[in-house]
Amino acid sequence: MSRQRFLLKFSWRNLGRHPIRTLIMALGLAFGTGYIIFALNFSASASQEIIADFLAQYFGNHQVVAPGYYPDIDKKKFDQNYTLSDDQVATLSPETYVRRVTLPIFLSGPRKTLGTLLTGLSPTQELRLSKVSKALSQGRFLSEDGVNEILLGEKLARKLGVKLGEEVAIFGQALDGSVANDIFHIVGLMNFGGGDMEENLAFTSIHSARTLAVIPENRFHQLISFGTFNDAPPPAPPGTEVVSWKTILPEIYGSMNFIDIFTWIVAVIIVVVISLGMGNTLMITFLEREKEFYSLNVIGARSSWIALALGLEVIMLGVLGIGTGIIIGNLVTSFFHVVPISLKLFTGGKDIMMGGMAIIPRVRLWHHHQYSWQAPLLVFFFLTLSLIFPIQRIIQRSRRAD
Amino acid sequence: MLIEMQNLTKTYGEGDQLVHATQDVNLKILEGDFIAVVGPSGSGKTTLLNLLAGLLGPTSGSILHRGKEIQHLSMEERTAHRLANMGFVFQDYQLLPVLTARENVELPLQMRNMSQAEIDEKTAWAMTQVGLGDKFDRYPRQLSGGQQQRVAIARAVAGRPSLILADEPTANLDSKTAQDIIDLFKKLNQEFKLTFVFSTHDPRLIDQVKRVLRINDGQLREGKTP
Ligand SMILES: Nc1ncnc2c1ncn2[C@@H]1O[C@H](COP(=O)(O)OP(=O)(O)O)[C@@H](O)[C@H]1O
Ligand SMILES: [Mg+2]
Repeated sequence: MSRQRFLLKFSWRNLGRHPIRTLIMALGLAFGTGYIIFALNFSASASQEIIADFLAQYFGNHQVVAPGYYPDIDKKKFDQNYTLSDDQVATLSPETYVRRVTLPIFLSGPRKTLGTLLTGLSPTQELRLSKVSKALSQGRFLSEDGVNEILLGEKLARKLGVKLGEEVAIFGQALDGSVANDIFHIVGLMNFGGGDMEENLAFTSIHSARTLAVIPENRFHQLISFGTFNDAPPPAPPGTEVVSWKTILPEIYGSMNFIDIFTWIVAVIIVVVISLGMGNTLMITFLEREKEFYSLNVIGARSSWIALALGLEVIMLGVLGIGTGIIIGNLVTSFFHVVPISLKLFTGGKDIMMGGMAIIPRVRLWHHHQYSWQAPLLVFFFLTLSLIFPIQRIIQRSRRAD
Repeated sequence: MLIEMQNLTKTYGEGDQLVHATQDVNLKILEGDFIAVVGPSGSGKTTLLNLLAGLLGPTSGSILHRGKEIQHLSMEERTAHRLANMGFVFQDYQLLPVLTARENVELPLQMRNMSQAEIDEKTAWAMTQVGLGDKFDRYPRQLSGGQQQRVAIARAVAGRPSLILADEPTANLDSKTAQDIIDLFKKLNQEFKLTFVFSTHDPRLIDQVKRVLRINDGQLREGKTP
């Protein structure tokens, strides 16, 4: 016990021999570690908020559908003949889900006829739970008992050659196999930031959609939940299937992982650079004490004793620097939790486009506690790696050759 | 018999550059000996002491420490052998600046498996012997050269080693202080039968020594007369 205490004392005081140098090394470790924790929290929070914003605009987190509705999920196909009834989802509270009907149709205007997707939704529920209505740029949102009201993406309206207040003709196939066709009044136009969505989406009330496609009033295609990004999926009622956005939009989920991996790669590069600098500085510090190591060996210090003393020095430096870094990283994260970062800072004021929609989030940073040990572990690992060589070198040199 | 050197040769370099730092040395050191190694600069004094300490391996010949050959031991084994059996005093003291006088004396004891009580006892004994019982907590920079060398001597003798080697321990000191250091060696030799081998090129110190080894170009000759 006393031997360990003696070694600790010895190493601690050696650290104090070059206070400025030690301080710089500790600060390097502290800022490196702090930055990595912040950066990881930032990228995780940013991708989560971007996705959350994106999902809230239209897709939702989870969909309850009839098995077979998505016959080939990766290819984004769906089969409108598979519907669910209200009875089947009676266990899921209507307060937290929206019902939708989705129909592939043709829209005809004076200039063109275009294939597009008509979403029938319940206006009051959507206003409460999703952010679909936020994209409204002209006119008004759908009303609960309006008949054949339609909202069009601005781009779609332009291509069709129609304006707010005018009419479009719809035709498609009803679920009973008959031809579905009717005239709809344009009550509003929507702006999704000019993306693909603006060209491909049209919205009407679920009631009008059901009438158009001959779907009974108690049936629908999707029951959709909105919520926070990583919510657990709802329990699937018997005879239904729950599908996560991660399955429907794998490329967007994949891009999140990419952001995460990219941040880790940057973190490793930072750590390697810091470690190389530290290894070099330590080497210089140790070389200056070479004569001391020689006389230590003369009075009986084995290589292991000297290596332990030097190792302890670096461990203490590491604990100090990295410990401070953990505090810095978490403080900065907490600060940007209170004061969210606007992503427009990084895009020169432009919107971020994702899945055909403009996303304009302000990122509120969340603590991801695993980073508070993963980042320090990474730094410690490379610090140890950068040490092996200087210590080995020093011990060899302190033994004069025969 | 404490140490026996047989036909010990140490050469540096090769060909034209070959230097015989010690040449065919035969030497017996008895327990309780008090020996001065005398010779001009470059004559091989340091080489001889380093061979005795096991810091250098001989080119040929053998060294026995209490009958045990040490030249075939590995570096680590020789280090352990030094820790257990020898004390070493340097010309420039070589105290660790971050440790107090007491801690410097403790240092080699801490490297051994010794209880703290035993370490404290041995440290106090050594510090008292060198006359620094009141300077335990001074750092080396707060001590004069002579005092630092006394701490170094305390460090060398605290473990009561069978052999204390000192390479020109007085070369950095004024003649009065140098005399004090030799007196301290003599006292420790007489009172505690500690064996000393020290090198010097100061002829005034020679008269006070029982055994003198004269070394010249690596050749050893016993006797006080030049
Ligand atoms: N590491 C070495 N390499 C080559 N020659 C050396 C080395 N160490 C000592 N010598 C040579 O060995 C001889 C004896 O040196 P040394 O033992 O240091 O003498 P002293 O201590 O009496 O001054 C000198 O000629 C010196 O130049
Ligand atoms: Mg010398």
